[in-house]
Amino acid sequence: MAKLPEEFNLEEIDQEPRGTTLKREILVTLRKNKMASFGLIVIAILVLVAIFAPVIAPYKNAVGFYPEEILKPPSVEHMMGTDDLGRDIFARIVWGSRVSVEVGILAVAFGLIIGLFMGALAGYKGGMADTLIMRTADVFFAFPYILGAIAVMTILGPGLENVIIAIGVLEWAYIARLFRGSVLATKVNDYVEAARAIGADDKRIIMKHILPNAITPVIVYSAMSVGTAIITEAALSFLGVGVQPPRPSWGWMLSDSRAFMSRAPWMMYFPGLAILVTVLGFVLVADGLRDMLDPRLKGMSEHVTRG
Amino acid sequence: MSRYIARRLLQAIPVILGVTLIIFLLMFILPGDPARMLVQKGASPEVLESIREAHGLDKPWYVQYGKYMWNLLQGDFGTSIRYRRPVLDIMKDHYPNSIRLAAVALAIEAVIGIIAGVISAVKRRSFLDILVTLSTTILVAMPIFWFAMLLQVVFGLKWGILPISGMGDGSWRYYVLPAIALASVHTAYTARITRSSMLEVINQDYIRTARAKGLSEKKVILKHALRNALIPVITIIGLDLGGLIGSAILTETVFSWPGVGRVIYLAILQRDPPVVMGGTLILVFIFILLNLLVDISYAYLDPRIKFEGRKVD
Amino acid sequence: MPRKFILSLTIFLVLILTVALVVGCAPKEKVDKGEESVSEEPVKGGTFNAFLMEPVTLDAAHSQESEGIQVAKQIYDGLVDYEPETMELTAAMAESWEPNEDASAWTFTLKKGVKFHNGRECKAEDFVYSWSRVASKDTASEVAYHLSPIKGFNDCQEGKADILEGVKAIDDYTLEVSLEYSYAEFPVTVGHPVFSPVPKEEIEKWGDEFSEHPVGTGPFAFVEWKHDQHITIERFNNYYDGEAYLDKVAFKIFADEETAFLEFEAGNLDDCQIPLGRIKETQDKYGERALINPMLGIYYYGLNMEAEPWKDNVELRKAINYAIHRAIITDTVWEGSRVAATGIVPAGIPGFKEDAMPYMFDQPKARELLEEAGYPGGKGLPELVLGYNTGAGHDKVAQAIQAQAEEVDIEFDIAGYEWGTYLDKIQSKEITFFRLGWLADYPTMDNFLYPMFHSENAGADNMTYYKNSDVDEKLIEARKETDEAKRRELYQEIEQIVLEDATIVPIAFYKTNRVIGENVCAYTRTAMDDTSYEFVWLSK
Repeated sequence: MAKLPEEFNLEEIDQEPRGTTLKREILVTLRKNKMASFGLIVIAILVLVAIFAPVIAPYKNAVGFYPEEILKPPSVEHMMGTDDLGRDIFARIVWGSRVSVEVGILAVAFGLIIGLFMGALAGYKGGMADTLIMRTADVFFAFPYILGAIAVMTILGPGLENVIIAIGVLEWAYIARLFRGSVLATKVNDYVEAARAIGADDKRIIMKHILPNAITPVIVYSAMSVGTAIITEAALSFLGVGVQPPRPSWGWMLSDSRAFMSRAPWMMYFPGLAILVTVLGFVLVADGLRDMLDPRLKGMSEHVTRG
Repeated sequence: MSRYIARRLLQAIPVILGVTLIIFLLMFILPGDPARMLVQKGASPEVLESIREAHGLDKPWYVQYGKYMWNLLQGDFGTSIRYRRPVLDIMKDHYPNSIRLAAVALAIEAVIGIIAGVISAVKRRSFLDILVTLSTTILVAMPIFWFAMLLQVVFGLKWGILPISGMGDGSWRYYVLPAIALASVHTAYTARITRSSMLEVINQDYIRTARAKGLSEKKVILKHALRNALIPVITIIGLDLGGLIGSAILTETVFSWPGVGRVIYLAILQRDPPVVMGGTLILVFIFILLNLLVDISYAYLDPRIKFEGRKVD
Repeated sequence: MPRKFILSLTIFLVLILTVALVVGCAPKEKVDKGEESVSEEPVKGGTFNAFLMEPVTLDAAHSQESEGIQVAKQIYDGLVDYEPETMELTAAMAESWEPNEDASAWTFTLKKGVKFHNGRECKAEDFVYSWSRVASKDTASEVAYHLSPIKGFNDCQEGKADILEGVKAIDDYTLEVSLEYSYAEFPVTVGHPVFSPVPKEEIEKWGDEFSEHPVGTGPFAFVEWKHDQHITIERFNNYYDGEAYLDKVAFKIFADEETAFLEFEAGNLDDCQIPLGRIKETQDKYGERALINPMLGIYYYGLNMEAEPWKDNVELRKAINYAIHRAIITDTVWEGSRVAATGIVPAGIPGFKEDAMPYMFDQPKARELLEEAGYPGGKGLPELVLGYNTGAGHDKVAQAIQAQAEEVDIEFDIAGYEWGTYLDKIQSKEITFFRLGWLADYPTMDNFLYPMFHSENAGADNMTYYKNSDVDEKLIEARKETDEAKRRELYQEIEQIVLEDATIVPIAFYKTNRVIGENVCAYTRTAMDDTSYEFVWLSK
């Protein structure tokens, strides 16, 4: 397997002169970048919607009880229709974005903090620490993810903060395993040895030399897992153990829509679409990041070009 | 070989022990009183106390855990608090449903995933490739329960051609939609991995040699490339089976499938520790066994890998 | 306007109750081919495919959840039963019963020749055995408390005695029951399935597995229980009270109502629960085959009487009562599958009072009371949280009520808890404003008022910790009262006191939500939400 080059410069590689298929390759890269840019735009829109929710749609339309407006199909007044309590679905989608953004980012950040620390410890120290941490992680892998999330939510009780904790608690094991492997690969490099030889302490070696070089796969993984976290939040809320109503959440909206599948299908179309597009944004960005940063895949595509 | 298997099995013991301990502690720190869940009315402190006593819930957790593990060693998974039935019986009722559904989903995943991946690798940059890439990307981002609901609306409510929930008399028609929903994300991943694995292999020297020898493209792909490209794919598909059984809760919920995921989920909500323990333990066994099988077959398929060599990563 | 609405609704309800409980075989609507109208004579035979969710147990000693009771009602019979339409007490295995002077002891005379499904005759001794089994410590029955008025109950519960001291077989057909106190309505309570006789030899044969091989004296004998698939019972040909028409009843087990309803629509089920959210469309489609009848249950919000701010603030408690427009919620959120509560005791209980509720939707009044309570315009109101258990659409009702209360400046958050922690938190007063429901065990006013409002049940069934010595005394007095009219008056008085204290906010009374197939005849969904399949027949 290819190792990470010490100085990894994307532009340099891209500017390498190639054969006749170079044009096609550039086109592919562009297209891939286009996809990634599309992903970035989606994420940007999502974040903007979450921030400017009060400007886009009044909160009072997203919550409450409007007996006169129950189950209205999409119209000029309610562009995505209303639900079974007469609430405006568009307003709920807009406000629901806040839950998704918060959970997506904070849960992964939480997982990263624990996971990176544990992964670094296991990978760098090795020995007992490694065994202990990785066997603990194994237990987490053996337990089905969604069941684990449900169990943690049952202990903590519903609520946005708890969803963040639950996802973070499960996510760390994956990050730790990934980072450990990457640290192990980086550790053996000459420059780490050199740093150690001149007497740099562990903390410095990890922060200055190992982290920047070993973090690449974790970055790709994190982008992906923001998407996963958003789906997990929706799933937990869908099962009724996620965030707390009346706070609008896309997962709750889907759960609400089940009883009205035939009578008011708009109740299920829009929240699902919102989740799909949002997660797609993160998947595309993750794909783009991987193509740019992961030397393995890059190497592979070079093979292809030459062939 | 047998030494390797023995070592792997030994390694699994702490994981299993860890899982039992974690679940037991989880169930113990779970707020709420199992006895209270059993009594709907008239739950005076005395009544609750006697119910607790009758189910052995009044002992400290380590006593209960020790007793559970002792029974487990003798093959006794305990009795459900709620249903007053042996946990093993409950599992016998539900595991077959889960495994059957997972098997069908796995078949879909393998067949469609591999075919789509191969086509898109061989016909790189064709319309088909773009179609496969696009749809797999979308499927990866798809919330599975929403996909399941869309299937219900289209095939069940709009066209009325397939049953949309339960397993009825167990005929194949009941399997179609849940299996598709369950397989969706995995199929997308399989297609993606097959594609990149194929691309990698196609450009290896021996393939080029084969091509140079003038073998037909079809023969090159089928005889040489596919075989080698499928090794990592098969690994992943093998491991998926465990995931397909354990994380099918959402699919089972949407389609009311009487599977084991839902049983465990409900047992968590109903505070029925023996059922949660038993159900999860069997899952973990399956998971560990599959891992082992995959590793063995991996080494078998790819002679370059020595048994001792592969780390779990 | 709303008052009028609710009044007319009530009248409508009472009409339904008295007229439409029994759905006879509807004459075929289209006779355009000149067909002879279908014979109204009951036809014997056929298998009835009934809807069910997986029960916890079929053992009479543990019968508490409604799923198990659906089946238990067919397999077991008790001393008495309830008239399906009026819920009045009728004889079953007992021919007659007599109280002593102060109703503290009851003598039941049993019918002769009543057979268990295994062929043996059921005699008085079987009742002694069965009731003692329920009360005994080893059985650890969740519903043993139904036997608590009987002498010696506590000794049995504590394991000091094996046999209930208060139950004696005087001879084969005479059963004498002595109680700890006078209880005029005791015979009504023995209609609960937990009082059904079970044969000792079968219990000894099967042990814990009796639930999988239940044997009773009912109109149907147990055949098979394939878990999560079906429970099948067949006609018992030696039934003492006339054979049933159906050959078999196959209870098809479903994980949820939605799935079952689809099967019903496909014609694979003869009866089915209507899922929430589909009541109106079902009524439109199936007309009178949708059985939306009053049911003996109340859905309420409780206010903890020992916690701030409810404690000592009757004005605040009343203000909430006035702030809620119940009929709008039952009409929209529940789609008419519930009806606005008109008191605590629901329509359908013998003796229920029609216009018990003093609080009709009145926003100015609510504001006025809020001011009197010391929170003018909601100012100074502490942070309140309305708790509910997740699932079954309780969050919807809570959100609707939250919005309604906000209109009169009573603001609170809502919080869902899963059932496993919910009751604990109410009991420990962590949640002091909460949703609960109460479904009748037997059709008596006592069954609503005594458990929920007697101080001795505080923290158990009396979740509001309501303690009123006047009410306590009157509840005891009412139990002793042998004159039916006087007793009802007493209970109505108690209901009024409790309502005036506004310890709960009655929201709605339950209704049955059943739909039956085209050829189903003589099917009654009782106010206890069960059906005696012995009367049902299928026309062809």
